[in-house]
Amino acid sequence: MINSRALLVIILMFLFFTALVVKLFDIQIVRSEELKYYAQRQQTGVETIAAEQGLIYDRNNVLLVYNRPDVSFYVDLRMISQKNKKVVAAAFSKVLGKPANYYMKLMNGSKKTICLEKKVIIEKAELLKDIKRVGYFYKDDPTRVYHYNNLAAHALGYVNNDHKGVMGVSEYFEESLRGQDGSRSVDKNAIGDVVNVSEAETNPAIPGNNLFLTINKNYQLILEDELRNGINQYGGTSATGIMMDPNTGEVLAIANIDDFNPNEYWKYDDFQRRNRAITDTYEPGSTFKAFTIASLLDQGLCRLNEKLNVENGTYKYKNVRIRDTHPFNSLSVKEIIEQSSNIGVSKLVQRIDDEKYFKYLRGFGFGNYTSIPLPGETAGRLKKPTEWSKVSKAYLSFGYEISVTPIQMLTAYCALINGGVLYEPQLINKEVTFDGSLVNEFSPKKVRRVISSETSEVMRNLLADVVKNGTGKKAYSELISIGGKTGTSQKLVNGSYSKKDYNSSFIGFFPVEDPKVVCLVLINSPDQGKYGGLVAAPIFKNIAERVVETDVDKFQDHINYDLLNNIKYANDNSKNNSTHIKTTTSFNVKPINYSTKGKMPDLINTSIKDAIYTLTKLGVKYKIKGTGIIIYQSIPAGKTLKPNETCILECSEINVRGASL
Amino acid sequence: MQIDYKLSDKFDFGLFIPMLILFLFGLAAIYSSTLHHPTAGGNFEKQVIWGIAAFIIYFITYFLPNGTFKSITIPTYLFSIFLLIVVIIVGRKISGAKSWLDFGPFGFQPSEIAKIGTILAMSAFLSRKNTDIESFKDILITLTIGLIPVALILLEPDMGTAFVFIGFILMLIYWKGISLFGLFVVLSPGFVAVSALFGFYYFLAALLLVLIFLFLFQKDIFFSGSIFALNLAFGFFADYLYNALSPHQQKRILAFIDPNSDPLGAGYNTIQATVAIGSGGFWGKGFLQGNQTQLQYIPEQWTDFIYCVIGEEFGFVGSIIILILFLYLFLRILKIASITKDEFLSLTVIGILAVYLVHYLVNLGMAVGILPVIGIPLPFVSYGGSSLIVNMFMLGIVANVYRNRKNYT
Repeated sequence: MINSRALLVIILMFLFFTALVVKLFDIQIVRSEELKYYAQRQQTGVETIAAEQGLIYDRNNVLLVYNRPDVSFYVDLRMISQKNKKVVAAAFSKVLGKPANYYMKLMNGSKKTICLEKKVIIEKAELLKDIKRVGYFYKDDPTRVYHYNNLAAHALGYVNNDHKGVMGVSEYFEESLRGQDGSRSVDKNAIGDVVNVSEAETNPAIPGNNLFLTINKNYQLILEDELRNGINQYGGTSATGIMMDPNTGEVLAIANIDDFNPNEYWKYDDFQRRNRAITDTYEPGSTFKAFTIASLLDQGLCRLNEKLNVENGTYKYKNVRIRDTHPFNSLSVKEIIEQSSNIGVSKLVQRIDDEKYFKYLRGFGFGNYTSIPLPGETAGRLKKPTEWSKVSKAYLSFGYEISVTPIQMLTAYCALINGGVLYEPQLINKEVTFDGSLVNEFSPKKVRRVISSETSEVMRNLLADVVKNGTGKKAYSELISIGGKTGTSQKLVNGSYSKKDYNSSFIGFFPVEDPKVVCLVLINSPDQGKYGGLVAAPIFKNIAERVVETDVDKFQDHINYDLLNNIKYANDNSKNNSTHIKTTTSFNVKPINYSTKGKMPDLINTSIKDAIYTLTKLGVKYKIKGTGIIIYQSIPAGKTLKPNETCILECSEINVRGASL
Repeated sequence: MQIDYKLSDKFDFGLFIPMLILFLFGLAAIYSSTLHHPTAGGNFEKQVIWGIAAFIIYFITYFLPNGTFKSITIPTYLFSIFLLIVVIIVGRKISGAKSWLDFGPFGFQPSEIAKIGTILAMSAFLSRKNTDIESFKDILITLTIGLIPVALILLEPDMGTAFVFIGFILMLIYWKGISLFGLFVVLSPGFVAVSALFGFYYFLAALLLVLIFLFLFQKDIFFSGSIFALNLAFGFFADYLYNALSPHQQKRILAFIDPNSDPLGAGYNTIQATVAIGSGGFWGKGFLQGNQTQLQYIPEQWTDFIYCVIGEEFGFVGSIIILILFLYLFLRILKIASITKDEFLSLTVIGILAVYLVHYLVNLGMAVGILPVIGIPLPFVSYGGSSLIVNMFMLGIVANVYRNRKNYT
């Protein structure tokens, strides 16, 4: 009995054994490849490694824009347990100082995924990264840092939430700055956490190229500072200023007041964010007379000494009356410019053929884009002779019936005084890849010759006389020789010229003997002293003197040294009395030199970004304390690196005296 | 009687060696699956300590004198029932079942002790001189002894363990020598009930099968009719019971029928287990190299899904070795049950075999995807102190029976 029953048990056991073997054979041998593929597909994924954006420096290697390696923290509310919520909330409260209840409230919401904290700075983020809970995760969320806040905001532009460049070089050179995203294949566990990065299949991100602007940070600071002071002193709704090197077309500074802080771009309106120096047009008024006279001189149609009847201030021409602010009986051509006589120029301009005059104006670039490498430039409007009315040419001669952008005016002035050649305005000195090889280097872009170098020299002296004897007296400096032209134009309001609203401008250059800087100052609707000579000229003078002081070497052959110290003293006094900022030192972020393989590079005084990049490349782990510039490294420079070493980097905020940080 | 002093005559290496290898396989798999786990890191060390304790218990049991097991039958059974009642009142809830009792730092499952108590009690009753397995009264008493703990375990509720109990209860009745018709009467309601869960047509087919058997047994019409009515009642009862189940238990049953119906839910473990074992291929990915295991695609793999670790890391070869070791062990136990002269001990050993068999069947069937997911461990291999100790104790009883096999007449 027992034996037959035992046999049945044995048979059943073997049957089941066979069933198991068959099933194992099926999945482990027949379907093995399919299941291996399935396993691999669910276990591995491709992650994008975001490329770091390129850095932006000024022309003297002062770092203006860099990236801070912030981290954002998230919670998937469907996956986190109540207990873990408490753990996470407590940890966040401890590290970031907000009450734990604040985080609990966030986590008790009804959304699927919530952001607990955005852009936590790296040293705090390192503490929070250690929390390992199901449903809790973080993402690198680097922040673009504009180190000097508002400084050169319009030239730099900003980077929006999608890491896209908007305006300024950020937009225009986005391709270069963006770099190339990398990818890596990763092992993922059942809940999708990345648990392992396979180095073999990592395709590293290539950081964006670094840009070195033609902007001089110190000049930029002076320009913004003085424009602000000007508005404070004379009133006015807004101001624009540009500085260029007339001999190359390099833009040294470009500013609009009001401006914005690219770090908090969302707090500002469109007007504040717009680079009005290239987007907004105005009627230039008297500053334009210089081009009329230059055309005539270049054609040999007038002599500086010849006298003209300027009609005692009121001249009836065709059906209009042309008036002068300062009435004279007769003036020489030189005096016409010095005194800015509308009647004088409008009489003189009749000597030149319409087409020729138009050709000169086109030659200076009016009615055309300057091609400055910034987005949003407008071309202004210069009417063709066929569109002119009987009085158009007369109006044109002193800067009406034409709309120009500030950058056009200044570019044209460069040609006027640099020997007669028009250059394309430039903003980039050089473009360098992340590892230091040169992509592009600046060279002046000559557009065309507009006037002869002789005419240009005459114009230089003529404009110097305007400052010495004429309407530009307020721009006169004992320190350095200045030439320039004032301008005032009534603003067009609803199609007719306003009696109250004026543009007050001054375009000048220094030193007269060998112009190195041309600068435009434009104040919109000043309250007091509507004339350019009273408002814009003194602002220009301050700018010029401060530029010369900060860059004495550059102007050494043209400075009146007796005055240098006095002025400095006076300026120091004024600095103490006012709250305005003035540059004193610049910080230079040292580039990292890691030539010796396997050795620790010297990271002191380098940027976090550079250091992180270098260490990542060398395979050294790092911990960062603080932000700013590295002041201490735990592995001394030159030491041979061992695998899996961790380098502790201590950083300090860059404290640049005078710059608003 | 001639006394053989050879060690192998007293100590059955055929029991000990397969069990030792299985235990070592288990340790390797536990090590591998908990190595990178955030919370189960210490499980390997714990299992080593439990293992040492279990081996000591194995040898103590092996050396116990004749008749010990029979003498502890009634106290063990009553104590088991007591503990099963206590655990329902004060037990610790783990994954939905109140099956754990805590004593300071130690916890154990009373149902593990109840296995021994119930096997001993049923064996003792069945081996009484005047027990007639064909009498309705004695069958009823036997089933009552077995089903009281089952009912208590279902109250916890612990489906898996209840299943193990039903397994060895049937095995004991079968081993005692119940007639085919008797077995049919005991088994058919369960068969019909399970069929009912698969759907109406399965239910009809099962009833038809029952009718055919009844016809073949050629019992009188009234008796056959009562049996059929009983089957019908069980079928409807199963359906009622299914609807009374909690949704997650229903899902598990559905997921067995079609694992892909809910790949992220109840069918998840089945799919992931198949992927793990299947991706191991012929030779396996190597110790600690199984990605499914190391990346924790299967939760708590060191317990019920331990076979997946072996399948993935040691491949087809390793999986088959495990199957053969178990098969060999079972054949040894079956042989001991067969050669033992004492009926009580023979029944006890066969009960123990049934416990192992059901664990083996349900656990491996679940791991390779031919049976639904019912969480019970693989004897000697899975992580877990109380089940290891009870399994070793039971194997110790078998070894003891082997040692004393010649002392009974």
